[in-house]
Amino acid sequence: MRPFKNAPLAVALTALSLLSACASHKPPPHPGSINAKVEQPSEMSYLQVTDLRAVKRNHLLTVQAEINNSDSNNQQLYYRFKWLDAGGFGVGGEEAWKPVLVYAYQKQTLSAVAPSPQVTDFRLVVQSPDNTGQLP
Amino acid sequence: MKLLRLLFLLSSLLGACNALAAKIAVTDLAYAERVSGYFHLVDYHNKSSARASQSDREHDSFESSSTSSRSSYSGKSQTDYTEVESSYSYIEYGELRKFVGDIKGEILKTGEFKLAQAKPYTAKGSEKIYDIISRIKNGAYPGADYVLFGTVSELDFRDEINPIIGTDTLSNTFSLMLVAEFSLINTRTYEVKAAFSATGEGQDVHVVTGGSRVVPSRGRVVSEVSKSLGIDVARQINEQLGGSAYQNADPATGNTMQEGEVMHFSQ
Repeated sequence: MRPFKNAPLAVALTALSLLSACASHKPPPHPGSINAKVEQPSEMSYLQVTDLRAVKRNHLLTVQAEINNSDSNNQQLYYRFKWLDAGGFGVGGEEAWKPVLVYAYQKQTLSAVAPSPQVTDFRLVVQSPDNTGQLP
Repeated sequence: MKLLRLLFLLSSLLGACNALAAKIAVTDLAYAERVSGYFHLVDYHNKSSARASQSDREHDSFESSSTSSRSSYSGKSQTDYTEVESSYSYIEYGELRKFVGDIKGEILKTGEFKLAQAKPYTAKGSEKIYDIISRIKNGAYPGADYVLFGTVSELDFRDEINPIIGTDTLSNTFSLMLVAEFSLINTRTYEVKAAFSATGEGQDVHVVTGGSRVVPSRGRVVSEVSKSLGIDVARQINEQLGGSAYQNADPATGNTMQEGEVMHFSQ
């Protein structure tokens, strides 16, 4: 009887599972980064949010985002904003998805104004169904 | 037994420290307001009288006859007309019986001071609102080590409607800003220990479409002004007296971004 006969196999399996666990749990995005404000159901290959800024005008949060298409084909983008109050609760219900066509090698600017002065934070939700993506 | 004695000593020391906390009396915010007026007075009197009399006499006898008649009329009329027109202007002094509740609350929260109640300004006799030394001498702040004397610099209500760019809606903002100057005065030496101006701000914002009308909530605005003024005053007192770090959350609005401030997110 050799109780440690399969020991190398067990070690290899454990290491593999640890590695895969590490790969599936990305570190959380930096609070002041674009990734902290952008949500995407699947990662887009060619479209990328390259600039994001917010300003408070007339007590309402105004957001502007710049989307860059690095592909030689036009890319369809759908987006919507989630508006959050100081407690992190959604304000004003869910918005409809808005379609935008981003031309090849072009940049497109999206802008939106918060529906209420209670809004202090936001998330930009983007998806591009025809864009090859990788599910999280 | 020794332990008990030590505990007793410690508790009495702590009690003494608490009793040593300086007492502050917070005055109501003093204000001076120019009052202007105009008057136009017209006084008109008319008095008239008239009198008329008539007498007839007839004498008839066997030898002669005579008739006499007499009538008189007199009239009098008197008119007095006075017209006075003038404008006047004077400065009214008083105390705003608002906005100091939260200042007291925030001072208490710092834990560095106790509060004493000030006697209100009544504008009776020769009492002068800005003569703080004479008010201290007259005993308007009994038991206080310091007086926080505040005067209103500016009180500004604004009701604005601005279009929201990129939409067909309007933002209706009703706001109030209060700026007041404060001096923290020692009641014994009249030394000014701290002096600053503090701001209280509050607003009620509604997003409206053209044609609709909203009534702003003045109560909410006043409450926000009072809270933010209290926080600003306590923070500045603490800062100037070098107390421990004063911690307080933002005013009730919880807004982290200031108006016009651009937040840029990095890649």
